[in-house]
Amino acid sequence: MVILEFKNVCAGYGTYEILHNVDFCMNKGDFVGIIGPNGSGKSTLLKAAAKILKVVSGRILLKDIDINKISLQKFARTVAFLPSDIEITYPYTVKELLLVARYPFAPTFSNPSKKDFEIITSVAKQMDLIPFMERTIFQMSEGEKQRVMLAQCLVQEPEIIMLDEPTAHLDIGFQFSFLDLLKTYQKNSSLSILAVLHDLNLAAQYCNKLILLDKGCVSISGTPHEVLNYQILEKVYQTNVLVYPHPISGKPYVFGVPEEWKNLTEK
Amino acid sequence: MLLFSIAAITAGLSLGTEILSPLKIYRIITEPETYQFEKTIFFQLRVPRVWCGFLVGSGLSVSGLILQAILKNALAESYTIGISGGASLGIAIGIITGRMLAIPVFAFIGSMFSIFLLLFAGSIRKLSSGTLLLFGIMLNFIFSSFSLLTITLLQKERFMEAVIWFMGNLGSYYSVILNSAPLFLFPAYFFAYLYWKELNIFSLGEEKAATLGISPDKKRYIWLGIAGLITGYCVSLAGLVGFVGLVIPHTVRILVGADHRRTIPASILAGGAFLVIADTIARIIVQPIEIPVGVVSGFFGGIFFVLILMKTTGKQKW
Repeated sequence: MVILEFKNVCAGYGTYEILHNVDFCMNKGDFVGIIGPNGSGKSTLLKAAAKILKVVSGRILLKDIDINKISLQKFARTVAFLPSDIEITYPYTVKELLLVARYPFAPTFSNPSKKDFEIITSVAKQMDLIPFMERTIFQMSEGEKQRVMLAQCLVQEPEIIMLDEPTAHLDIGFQFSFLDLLKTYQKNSSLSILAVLHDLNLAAQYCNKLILLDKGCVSISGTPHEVLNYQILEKVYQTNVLVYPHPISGKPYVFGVPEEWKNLTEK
Repeated sequence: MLLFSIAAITAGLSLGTEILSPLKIYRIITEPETYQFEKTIFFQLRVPRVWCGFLVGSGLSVSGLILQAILKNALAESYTIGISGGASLGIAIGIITGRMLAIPVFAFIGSMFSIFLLLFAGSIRKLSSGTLLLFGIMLNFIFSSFSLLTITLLQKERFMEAVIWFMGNLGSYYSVILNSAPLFLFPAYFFAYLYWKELNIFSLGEEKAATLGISPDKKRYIWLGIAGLITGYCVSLAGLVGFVGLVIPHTVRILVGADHRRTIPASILAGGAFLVIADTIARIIVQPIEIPVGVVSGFFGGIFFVLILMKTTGKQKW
C-alpha cells in the first residue's frame, strides 16, 4: 500500500529552487533512506514531505490525500519529524519533552490525560528512558538525547516517522543502537520510516529502499543493491569508490579511496 | 515563591523615608482615624507605588519569557528585539511636546510601532527567529540613535526628565495608566498561562512546532503582539527598566524548570517581587535622594544572577 507519494515536486527556499521534479513513492512499512552529496536537496525533500516547507509545484500525497489539504494538527497525528538540530535551549525534563508531543491529540487547554501518561511510559520503557524521566536534557549525553528525541516522535503514535540525519552526531555504538531501536520498533508496529542519512553504509544496512539525489533531482531509486552501484556513485559524488558486499549481511558496502591509492583503482 | 513575593511587598510597603512597620500598617487599616498622616502616605504613595512596581516587574518578566520561548533564544527580551528602542523614541518625542500624559502615551505608541515594524517585516519576507532577533537589535540601534539625538537637542531641565525616563523610574507613573494596566496585563498573563503548551512547543524550534501542529509563522506574530502590548504598558508606567525581562525568566527556570505551566506564574511573582525590592532599595539607599530603579535592578540583579550562574554551571549550560 502506498503511504507517501511525490508527484513532480519542485521545492526550495524563497525564489531559490532546490528540488526539481522529484517523483517517488513509499509503501507502508518501508524504511526509505535519502542519500546524496552535500547540498543535493536531501533535507529539503524531507522538509517538504514533513509539511515544513511548502512545495512550489507538484503534489505530495499522504495516503492519497494532498498534504496541502490536511491541517497541521491532523498531519501531526500521522507524521512525526525528528529535526537535524536537536539543540534544546531550556532545561526541560525528559518527561516534559515527551508529554509535549501529545499536543496534536489534546485540546490546547487540557491537562495531560491518563492515556497520555500511559503512552509516554510505554514508549519510555521501550527506549530504556524510564530512569531518565525526571532528568533535564542538559544532563544527558548526545546519544541519550537523540534517543529522547526519537521517543518524542514515537509518543505521537505516527504512521510515518521522518528523520533528518539522526545519526550525524553519534559514535558508531550509538549509531547502531539507535537504528536497531528504530528497526525493532518498526517491526512491532506498522511504522514507515523516511530518513536522510549521510552515511551510505548505514543506509545500505538498514534501509530496504534508497533514493539517491543529485543536484536536486532523483538520480536513481531502488533497493540498496540497485542504487549503490559504483559507476553511479562515482558520477554523483565525484570520487572513486569500491563497492563490496558486507561480509555478514551481504548488503553492499561502499569504500572511499584516498588520493595516494587512486592509481590502483584504475586496475 | 509566593512567600517571597509577600515578603517583598511587605518590605516595599514598610520601608521608605517614613518607616511603617507591618504592625503599624495593620493599625492604619483597622483604625484609619488615629493615623491620618500615615494613612495618607500609605494609601496615596506606598500602595500605588508598590503595585506599580509589581505590575511592571511581572509584565517585563512575562514578556521576556514569551519572547525567549518563541524565538528559541535565551537572550531575547524586549530590549533585544527593539521594543524598548521604539519606546525610548516615544519618550523623547513625548518630552518635546511637553504635555501631561504625553510621555507615557508616546512610549506606548513607540513600543507598539516597533512591534508593528517587526510584524510588517515578517509579513513581506519570511523571517527565521534568528533573523527576527537581529532585525530587532538593529531596530533598537536605529531608534536609540534617534532618541539620543532628540535629547541632546533638549534644554537642561528637560534633559533630566529624559534621563529619568530612560533609566526607569517607578515614581512618575500616571494613575490613569496604573488603574487601567490590570485590565490589559492580567488578560495577557492569563492568555499566556492558558497557552503554556504552545510556548513549550515553540521553544523546541520552528520545525518541531510545525510538525506538532502549530503554524510557526502565524502564531509567532500573535505572541510578538502580546509581548509588545505587555511591554508597551510597562514602559508607559515606568520608562525603561532594563534587565528584569532577561534575568527573571532565567532565574525562574533554574528554580522551577523550563515548563511554561510553572514558569509563567513563577515569573509573574518573582518579577513583581524583584522590582518591588529593587525599588525599595532605590528609595532608601541614599535618602532623601531616590536613585532610578533601573540602576538598582541592574546592579543587584546582575550580581545575583552571576552568583546563581556560578552555582549552577556544570549542571546546566546556557
